[in-house]
Amino acid sequence: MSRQAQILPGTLDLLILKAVSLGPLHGYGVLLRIGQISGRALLIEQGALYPALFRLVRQGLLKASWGISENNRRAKFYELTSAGRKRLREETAGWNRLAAAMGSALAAEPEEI
Amino acid sequence: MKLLGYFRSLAARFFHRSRMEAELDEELRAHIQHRADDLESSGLDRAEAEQRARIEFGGRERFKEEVRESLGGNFIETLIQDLRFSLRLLRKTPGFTLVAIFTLALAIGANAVVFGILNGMILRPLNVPQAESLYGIEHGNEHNMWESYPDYVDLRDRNRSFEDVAGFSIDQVGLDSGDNPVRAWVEVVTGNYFDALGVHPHLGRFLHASDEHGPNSAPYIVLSHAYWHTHFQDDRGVVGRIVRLNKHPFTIVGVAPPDFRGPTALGPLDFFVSIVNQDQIEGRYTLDARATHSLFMTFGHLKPGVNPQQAAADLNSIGAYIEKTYPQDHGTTTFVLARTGLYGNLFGGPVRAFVTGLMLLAGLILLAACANLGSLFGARASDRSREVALRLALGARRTRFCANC
Repeated sequence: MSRQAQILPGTLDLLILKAVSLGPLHGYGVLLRIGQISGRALLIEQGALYPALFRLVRQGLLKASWGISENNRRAKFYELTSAGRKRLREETAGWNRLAAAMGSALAAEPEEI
Repeated sequence: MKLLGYFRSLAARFFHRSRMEAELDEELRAHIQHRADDLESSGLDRAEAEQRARIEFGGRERFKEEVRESLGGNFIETLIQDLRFSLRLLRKTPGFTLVAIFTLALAIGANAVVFGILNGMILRPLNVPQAESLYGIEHGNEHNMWESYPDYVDLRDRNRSFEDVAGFSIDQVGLDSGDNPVRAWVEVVTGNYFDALGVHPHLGRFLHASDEHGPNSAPYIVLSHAYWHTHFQDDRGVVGRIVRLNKHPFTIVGVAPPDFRGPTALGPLDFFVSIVNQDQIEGRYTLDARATHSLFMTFGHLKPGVNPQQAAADLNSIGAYIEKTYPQDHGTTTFVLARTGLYGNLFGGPVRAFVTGLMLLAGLILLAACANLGSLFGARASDRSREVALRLALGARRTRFCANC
């Protein structure tokens, strides 16, 4: 548990887009997928997922439809729209830039200055 | 049409929302079931797995609320919810509610009454056209508006600042319109009174300067609208009727418009007669006496572009002339212009100060009532600490919570 990190504000949307981009998922599935692709290193409050999902649907980045899950239960499945795919590309690029910048900034040594 | 569209979209959203709420419920339930499935497969029994899943999920209502908010535009629903909650809360403590309502009612009532007075006497403009340019002529040294008729004529004919200057006095007469004489209040007016004010009759005609041809030459009556209503039952055939005023025959020629109160706000008078018939009305004739103050007030509309100071200077030059010409009848004769509504500065100053003070006092009462209510709420808040703790634990957010308090 102590090795799990709270996610940064604003990154949940990006994680959801990424998780859904790998295949249509229902809410709980999104949670599991994020856990899986992040190596269980990120801690997401289960309920906090839904406001984010509804927001993304409203923004037209995801679309939702009801279906039957692998456990044979009725569930709402989410998949990316084309706008969602575009947003995912942009945000991924933005995130990589930020991460690279933060990484190099934090790795700076006295003699490099 | 636009409004209709708005309501339609609002209604659509309500229906859409109730469907969405049901879906959201089902979705969250499905989430918990899936989680419970996972927990069950790790060895827990079903009941325990479901309970654990629910606990892990956290405050369901709170997340639902966040979902609603992420959809936006639910201001009205939030407001309705808050209102319903407040009403429930008030019903739960009827004593508190009664005290609060009573306190507020008392304070607001006091304010309404005082504001009524303030509005009637000071704020409401006189019911005449261009009330803002209507000024009374007040004596500079005595702060009253009494004027002798000859002086009035000089002021009327020699000034260059007023459209016209008219005047009136007030008296009581006996009116006999059939077989039962009654006492009535009359305004005894100069012939140009109505024309100087710029009003138009409700019925028939008004008095005019052209009616005046010497003493007792204008035996005409103009009824006030209220008097016409109460004593003549709105009879439109009243024009042309002959009545007896102090036993002298007078003809009713017209009815003033509703709410016409002349240049003052002092009170509704019964009817208007011409001052040239002063002898029949007051039993004396003083229109030629320069030392007798026959007119209670003189007034007029300023000409466009003339300000009160210029008009006063103009009048003062006439005053100097009068002073010099009739030294036996006059001391210093100076004039200032004053608002007519409360009879210039004589009553106006004190009345305005008094009513303003009263309004301030009423405001203070309201403030005190609010302060008392505030402390009452404070006392109740400490009683509600259990409820507050419970609601916070259930996931109420602080902003919503404060809206409910």
